[in-house]
Amino acid sequence: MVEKRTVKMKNRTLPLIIANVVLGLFIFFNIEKEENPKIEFEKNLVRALNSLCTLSFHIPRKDQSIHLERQETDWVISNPIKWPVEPLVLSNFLTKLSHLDSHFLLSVDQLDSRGEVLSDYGFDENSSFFVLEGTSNSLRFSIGNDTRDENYVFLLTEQNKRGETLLIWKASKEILQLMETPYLEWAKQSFINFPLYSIDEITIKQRKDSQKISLIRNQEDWSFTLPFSAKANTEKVNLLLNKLVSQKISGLYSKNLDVNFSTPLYELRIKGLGKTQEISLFEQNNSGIIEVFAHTNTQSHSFLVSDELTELLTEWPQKLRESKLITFNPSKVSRIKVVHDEESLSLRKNIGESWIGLENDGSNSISFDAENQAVQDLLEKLNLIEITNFMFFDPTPKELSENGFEKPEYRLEIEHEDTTRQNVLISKSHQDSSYWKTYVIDQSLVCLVNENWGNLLKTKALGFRKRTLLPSAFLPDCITLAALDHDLGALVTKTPSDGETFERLLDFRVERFIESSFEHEGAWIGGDWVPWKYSLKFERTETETPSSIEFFLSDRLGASTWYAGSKELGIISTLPIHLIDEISDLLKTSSDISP
Amino acid sequence: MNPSEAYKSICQTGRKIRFLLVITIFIQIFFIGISKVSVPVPSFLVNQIVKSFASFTNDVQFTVEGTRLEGFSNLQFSAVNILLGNKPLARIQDFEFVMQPYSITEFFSSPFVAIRYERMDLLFDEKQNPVVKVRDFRLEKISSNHLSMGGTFLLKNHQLDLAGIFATNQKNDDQVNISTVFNTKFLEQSESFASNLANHLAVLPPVHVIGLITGSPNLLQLQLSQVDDLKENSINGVKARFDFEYDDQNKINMNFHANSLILESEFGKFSLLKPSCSGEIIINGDESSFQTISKLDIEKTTVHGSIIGKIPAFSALLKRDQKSSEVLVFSYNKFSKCSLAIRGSSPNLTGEGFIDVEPDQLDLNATLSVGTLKIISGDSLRLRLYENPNPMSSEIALFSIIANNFSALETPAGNFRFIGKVRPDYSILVSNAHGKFGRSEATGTFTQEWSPPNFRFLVKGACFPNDIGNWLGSWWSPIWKNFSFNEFTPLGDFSIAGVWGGEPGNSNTFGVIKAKNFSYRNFQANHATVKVTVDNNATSLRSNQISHTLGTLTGEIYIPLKHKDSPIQLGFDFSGDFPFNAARSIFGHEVENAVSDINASLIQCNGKGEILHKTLNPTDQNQTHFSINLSSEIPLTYKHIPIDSFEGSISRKNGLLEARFPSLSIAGGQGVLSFKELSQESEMLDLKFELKDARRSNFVEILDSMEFQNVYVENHKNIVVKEKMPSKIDEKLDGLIYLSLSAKGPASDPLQFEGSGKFGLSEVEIGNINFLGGIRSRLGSFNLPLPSDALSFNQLDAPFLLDHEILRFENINLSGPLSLLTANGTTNLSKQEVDLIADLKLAGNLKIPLLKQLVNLADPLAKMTSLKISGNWEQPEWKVHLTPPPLP
Repeated sequence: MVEKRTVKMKNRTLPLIIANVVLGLFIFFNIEKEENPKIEFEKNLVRALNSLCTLSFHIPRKDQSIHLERQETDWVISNPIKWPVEPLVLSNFLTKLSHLDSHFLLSVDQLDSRGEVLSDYGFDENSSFFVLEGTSNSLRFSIGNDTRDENYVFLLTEQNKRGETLLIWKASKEILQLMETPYLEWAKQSFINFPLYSIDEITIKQRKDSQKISLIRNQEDWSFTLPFSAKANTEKVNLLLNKLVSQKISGLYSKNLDVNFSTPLYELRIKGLGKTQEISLFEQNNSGIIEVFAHTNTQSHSFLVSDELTELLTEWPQKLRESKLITFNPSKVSRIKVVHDEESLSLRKNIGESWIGLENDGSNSISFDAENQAVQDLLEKLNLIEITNFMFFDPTPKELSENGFEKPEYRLEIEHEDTTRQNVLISKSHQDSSYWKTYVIDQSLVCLVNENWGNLLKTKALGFRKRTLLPSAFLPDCITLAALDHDLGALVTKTPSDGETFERLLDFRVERFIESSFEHEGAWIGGDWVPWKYSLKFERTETETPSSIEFFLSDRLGASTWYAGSKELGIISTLPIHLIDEISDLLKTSSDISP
Repeated sequence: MNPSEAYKSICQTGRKIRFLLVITIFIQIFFIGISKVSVPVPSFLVNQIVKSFASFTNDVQFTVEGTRLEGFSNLQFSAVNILLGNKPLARIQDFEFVMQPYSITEFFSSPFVAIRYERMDLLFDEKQNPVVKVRDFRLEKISSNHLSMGGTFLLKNHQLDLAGIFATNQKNDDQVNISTVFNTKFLEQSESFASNLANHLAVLPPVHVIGLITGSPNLLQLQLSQVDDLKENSINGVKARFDFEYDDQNKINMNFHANSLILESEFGKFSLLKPSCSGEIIINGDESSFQTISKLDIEKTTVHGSIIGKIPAFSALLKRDQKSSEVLVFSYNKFSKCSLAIRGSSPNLTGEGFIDVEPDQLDLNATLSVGTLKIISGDSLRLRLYENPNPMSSEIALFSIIANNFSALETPAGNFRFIGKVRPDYSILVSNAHGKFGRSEATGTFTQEWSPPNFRFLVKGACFPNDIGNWLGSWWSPIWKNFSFNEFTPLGDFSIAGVWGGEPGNSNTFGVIKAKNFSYRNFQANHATVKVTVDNNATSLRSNQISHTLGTLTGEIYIPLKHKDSPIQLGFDFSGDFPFNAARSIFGHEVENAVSDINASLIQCNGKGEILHKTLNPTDQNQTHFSINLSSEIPLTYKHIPIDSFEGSISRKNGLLEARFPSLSIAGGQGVLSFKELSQESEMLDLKFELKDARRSNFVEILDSMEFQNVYVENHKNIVVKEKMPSKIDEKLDGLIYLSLSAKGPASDPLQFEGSGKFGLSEVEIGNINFLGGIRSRLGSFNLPLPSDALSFNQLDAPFLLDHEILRFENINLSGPLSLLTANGTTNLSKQEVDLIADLKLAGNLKIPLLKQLVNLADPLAKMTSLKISGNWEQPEWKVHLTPPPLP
């Protein structure tokens, strides 16, 4: 009974099991299996590329091998030299390898069945190969013969660690170029490991004088700290630094040459990012050719550099020193004084931004309201003066006397709001020369300046007089431009309703005062008689006591030459270009309107 | 357990096994059945699936078409559209989403296996064209912690074939949490990034690159290499690498290099040698701050366009954070050094630096309207840019430029010095400029704005026009082509303003030139002040005083600008003492030729007019018009005709020339002359001339010199040139001439005129002059029995008809105190021959009527003979011509 029931159970269960197995097998064999060797290899390749640790190239025929290895995030050449890898060259290799035009041919297992051996494809112990080693897998690529059509080469791939099937491919010949890249191309070309912005200090020591020259950065500005303390020209230093960090190696030898490293030609030390890089330069006579070698503490390998580098390391004091004669903040200047022979002109800051001038011709003094813009222009120009040649520092009284500073032609005093002063003495270097010897007292510096001090340092008030002509309390409500020819009469009348035109005319000012006297019909200017042609009258009519100020204008005698005169003010002057434009427009409008 | 219980237990177990086997069979059959079945999927399910792997806000809308589920795992869409707001973001076709088919746990925890689609158009421009196209994209899970991807990306004209692998988070390796990446913000950022990238890449020539992208949870690396890497390509040797590091702060490292790159723009073609760019962007995790440091290096740039030449190697560094930025530009080689820095943040920028160049070593040329010129040459050019020392003023920088033995655009070399400032809006003001070059030495100012690029020069000083011709373009030099300045260089005071590259004629020039001892087309002037104006319409030269040795002249010449396509070639307006002979050439060769017959030292004139361009169409009428009033008290000649004085006008209107000279003094007489062209098609003239009381001798002299005689000379080479009349003649022998003529004919040939007129001669003893060979002597030779005074004549009236070269006389009356000689016949002007039949009437001129009749009755001569006068008019042959008596 038990047996029968057992058999029954077996009879019903077995078909079910068989049916399940059959269906299971059916499903198993019908599920897409894309895990063929080709796809598997490609997946392994991208895995290897993602976790690549070392890369080595071997050319047995030439007995050459290059090893690259990853050290943390950076790659280095570990053989035949030790040197950082150029990241873009590595990227190029990996990218091209990942997209290599390759076609799977067969696996090595199939060779027997085809009656072939590996050497038929050019694979033997002399085949060039390269190896990619990732953290979890390793791939070896051996390069064989050209394919029959010579468009491809055979490629044998091997997954070493897994010991999986060796596969034969045909691949683009581009892989030969990648394979045979010389180590110098793999090498990083720059050898100074600081971005420009990170350099804080540079020092150079030259063999010939053993003098150390050092510059240090403070914020964006650079200063000499050795052999003297002085401001350096930041842009010149930046140019030097950019040139230094852009320097490239000229060559790398696989073996260090026997160079006398004890007496470097130059010793360059660069500090930044908390690190210090020292570069020593040496000269070596190589078969009559002078080569410049460099050795740096960051690399074990010495290398060749361009002799341009040695040029960059010379004459830093002359090349990099700030060449501006005087530097000051114009808004902090309280007084400026120019002395020339017996004459002098003082300009003193008054309340706010207004200035007062005092002209002294040796016997008489006149004070005047000075034009702020004229003073600012002078201060600006003084700020722009450059030293042409440094002559000497800390001059002796004898040197000062010999250079004409006992009785200088000009004396310039600039007094600042904090009561500090800058004094500059100026004497002509030679009667016919455009150079002036200039002694900056607070810097104890004597130098040559190619600047026409005579044009710049005026002792006459005329150039600094207040240029606005209408009194500030006078507020006209009507401006009339009239032709002095009575037939024509008033040409244009402007009132506040004319907006900007009226406002611009209200700022009636001179461009330049002219030494001439006003006459009713005109004025003598530069030997020419200039008759008045127009009158410009500013009137205040809407008051109990109407008042007016009248100016006479000449014809427009040039693009920027238009003379104005005033009998009341006793002045002759030129008009600024914005007023010339304005009045020209008014005249043009009036002529367009009149029939 | 007893057997029964054991059996029951076995039975129950067996049933369970069989039940399970049956269920398994059903499941397997179901699986087999459904694994090949493709069924439509409701949209709500689709949305659930989308939400499962993407966190989008309501701004993002999905619309899907043709959704089907194939098997358990393959969700397919014929089209997927993604909209961000109302803006289309992506359009995907043949999209396939593959999920875990066999593991229930995996299906719910990490359903993703692969995404594939054939094409996706991503981001659309204004014309709804896709900015990015993706083709054959796949993203697949290749292991529990690796995704591989591949696809082709087309961005503008660039193609990127990308392959890659991503390692997913090791700690939660099965969780590829895509939803943290694919969210609304990601889409917005992608759109912005792709648009910017597309704009930047648009300047690059088309390039096909391959890329390898590798990713780990904290690092994404994209490495690119060019495929079509041929030297003849506009770009070649591209290698690039981008590292994206994710941590507390996100960091992007970028490195780009190309062997060469050709960029084309409206300014020309720029060939860059070995351009390379590297940079680093650091962004804090909360994106509150960032820092960018990037560097561009170019070994050499060759420019082909409006500028041709080479730009030396240069580097540019950019350092930027959310507060400020710094740009440094460097160039260093044997003949140029440059270090410029712009720092700060707008509007508080400052500039510093310098440029030192040996211009002779630079190879940069500009193609201008005046030709291809070297942009700069000379010994040195030094630019210094200084930080504005005055914090109270807003200028970015001050600068100075010093150039020695320097030339810009091949003008004469000289020394220049400029001082100026860069304003907050980057506009430039050169407040103090001084240049000494060639024959010029001038000072001035210059302003340059950038948006639009307005400029304005103010120049004052000794300006030799030829020195600055190359700067001012092709319109300048022609103005001065015909001027010649001697030792005195003109003084100029100019304002030149305009917009670089603006509309033609946008520039405005106003200037005054004072010149001494100069000449214009051989016209020597002592001094002149000339106002030059160039505006949108014309170039105008106006002078109120051009003084020359014979007087002064005011005038204006204006030349419409080319872009105006004006029919006017030149307009003029002048008045004053016009030194005709000296200045005949100033209006050009045509006018000079037209007035070549006039010989006048000085003419008072005022006139204005416009000379129009000749058109290519021969049927177009030349509408050149002018009106010139002329007068002169100084004798002059016209076609060798001496004119003592004249007053009149010449005008041309509607293509017809007309002259009226109401006062004309010729040969001592007073006359009136007018002529006018009758039509534009022909050269027919209507001529009216009347001359009274002209001295006969002078008039004959004029006739001798008149042109038609020359015509005859041309036609009759064998003519014997007769002696000229003596210059001084007894007044009794001279007489006064009256001549009037009204005729029409071609201007070029006086012998083709037709008309009528009258010739008179009076107040002279005609018999004593050699008129018609000497009337008295000729009549006297007939020995006629005539009373005294019968052969005395003192009045000639000869109305005539002009018929080409023939003068026809119907009724010549030659009268004296007694006699009257009447004649008719012809005179050939070109041959100077007469052919007349004359009747001599003795006492025919007696004023006493009865006596006159009687004498005539008694005059047998008049009844029987006529006189035939023929041959050369100076020595004609006189013959008695017998007249038969009238029939009884």
